[in-house]
Amino acid sequence: MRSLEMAWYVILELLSPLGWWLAAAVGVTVVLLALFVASGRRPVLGLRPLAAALGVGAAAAAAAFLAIPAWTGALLADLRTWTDFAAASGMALGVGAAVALVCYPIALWLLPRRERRST
Amino acid sequence: MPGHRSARDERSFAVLATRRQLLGLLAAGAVLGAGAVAARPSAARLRTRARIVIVGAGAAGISLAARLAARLDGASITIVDRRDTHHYQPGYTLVATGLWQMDEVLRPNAGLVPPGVEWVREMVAEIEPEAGRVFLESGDAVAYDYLVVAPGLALRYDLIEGMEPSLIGREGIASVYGDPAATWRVISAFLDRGGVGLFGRPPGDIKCAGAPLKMTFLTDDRLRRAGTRGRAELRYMADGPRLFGVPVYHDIAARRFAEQGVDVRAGWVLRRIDVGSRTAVYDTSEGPAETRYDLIHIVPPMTAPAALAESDLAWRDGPFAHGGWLEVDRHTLQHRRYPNVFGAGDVLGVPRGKTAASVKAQVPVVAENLVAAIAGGEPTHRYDGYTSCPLITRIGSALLVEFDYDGNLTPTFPFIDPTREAWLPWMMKMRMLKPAYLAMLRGRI
Repeated sequence: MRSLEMAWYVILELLSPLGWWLAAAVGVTVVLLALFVASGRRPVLGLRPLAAALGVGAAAAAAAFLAIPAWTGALLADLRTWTDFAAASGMALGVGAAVALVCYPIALWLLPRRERRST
Repeated sequence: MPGHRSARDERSFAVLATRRQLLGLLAAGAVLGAGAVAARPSAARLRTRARIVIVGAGAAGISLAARLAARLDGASITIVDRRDTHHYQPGYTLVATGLWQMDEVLRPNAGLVPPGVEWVREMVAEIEPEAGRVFLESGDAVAYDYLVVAPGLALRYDLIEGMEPSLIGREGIASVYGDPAATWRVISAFLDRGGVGLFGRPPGDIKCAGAPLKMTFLTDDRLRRAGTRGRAELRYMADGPRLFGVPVYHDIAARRFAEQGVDVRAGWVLRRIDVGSRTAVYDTSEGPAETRYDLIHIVPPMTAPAALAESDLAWRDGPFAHGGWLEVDRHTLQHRRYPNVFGAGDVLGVPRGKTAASVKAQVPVVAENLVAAIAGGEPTHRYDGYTSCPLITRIGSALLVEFDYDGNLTPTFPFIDPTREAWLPWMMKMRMLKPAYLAMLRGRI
């Protein structure tokens, strides 16, 4: 628990220089989601927007995995142990998940519901 | 010498059937996040009118002020330190090898001194523990009921003949401890020209004992990347038979130097430099030895600051008396003769433990033992000598070195092999340790 708390504070400090950008991204996401819910257009969970958001998130995660060593001044070839790959993968997954979350409400608005064929 | 300083909302993606559930989840996430941001060491606050003076606004002083402010209700907490700028010293080796800019390790102290803590912008000139007061450079006295001694240490360039701090950055003289930015200027010039590069360390206690090795490893790596390694001859002058106090890391460093072609001289101690002729004189077991250099990375001898070394708080005998280090119990960090005095950071007269990681481990011990003393009790917490240093071996690779007083390896993360070079410790050094340090200064960890 203590190490989780420590990790949390380290992440807070790490992200604090991006605070306003992150707050803006979270704010826009929440507002878009709330407006969509309020519009009553359709259920908030949809397969197409979910797939689109996950796709963008996966692409972001892949890009992040390639970029993370450079973010530390190192090369991809410097990842040599399984802990190196696990750490870089975990960070990339975190980036991908964040991007997917931000993209989901956008996808809800942009992707129209596929009409069911009536019989 | 510069300043020498959950909640977890694991979101499960549940299927949301109604709008109310969605809004409820958003509200819960906001509450959990806000709660975590507001969290602090959670022990009950002790009501007291005690006057606490903290000497030094470095890592230890600021962190302790934050902890004590959170633990005590009604206490008068005063930090005494003239320096306006806080230096993140673990970043010095990165600045000195061109990996970071100097402004990445500087931060105004004004934003770090906790609210409610008085900051006296002067240096302590004298300590009178019998009278319970410190004298400032202005001659004013500040009385205390409890004293925390955390002024850092003194870089003693004056103990090397011909050397003074203003020479760093000129005439091939580098020193990461004294001026990392100027050190990088000298090293980057050496990368172009090559020549003889001298490294090493003095005997006695120094802070971040891995830094002299890191500077050598990184200079070698920089030369290879610049394609000029063949023009340079690197020598490491060790003060004794070991390159590092913990045997396993001595072995690793020795093997690495052998692979890199770094010539190791054991038992060479820098006595004098001649700036004009670029020669250095070392004391060796066979008498003085003179060596010409194109680059010399000087690690000065280090002692406690004069105000402490000349006070009755310093060790009177034993291995720590020579440097004037603070006489504390190595586990409780309480002074051995003055129970209302505690210490933290580089100034401690204890084996090892002159790193920011040591401070991270010491500060909670000092804070809790000081609170116990104010409450009239005995020390409750113990420091085991934990210290840590990501030992950089080249750009992109490091070892996560962690050990205690006895030299036992004490890895925080059991999945990281402390004897194997890897990128993860490098990544931590480059990107994670500074946020952890800042969280420590705020008393959060």
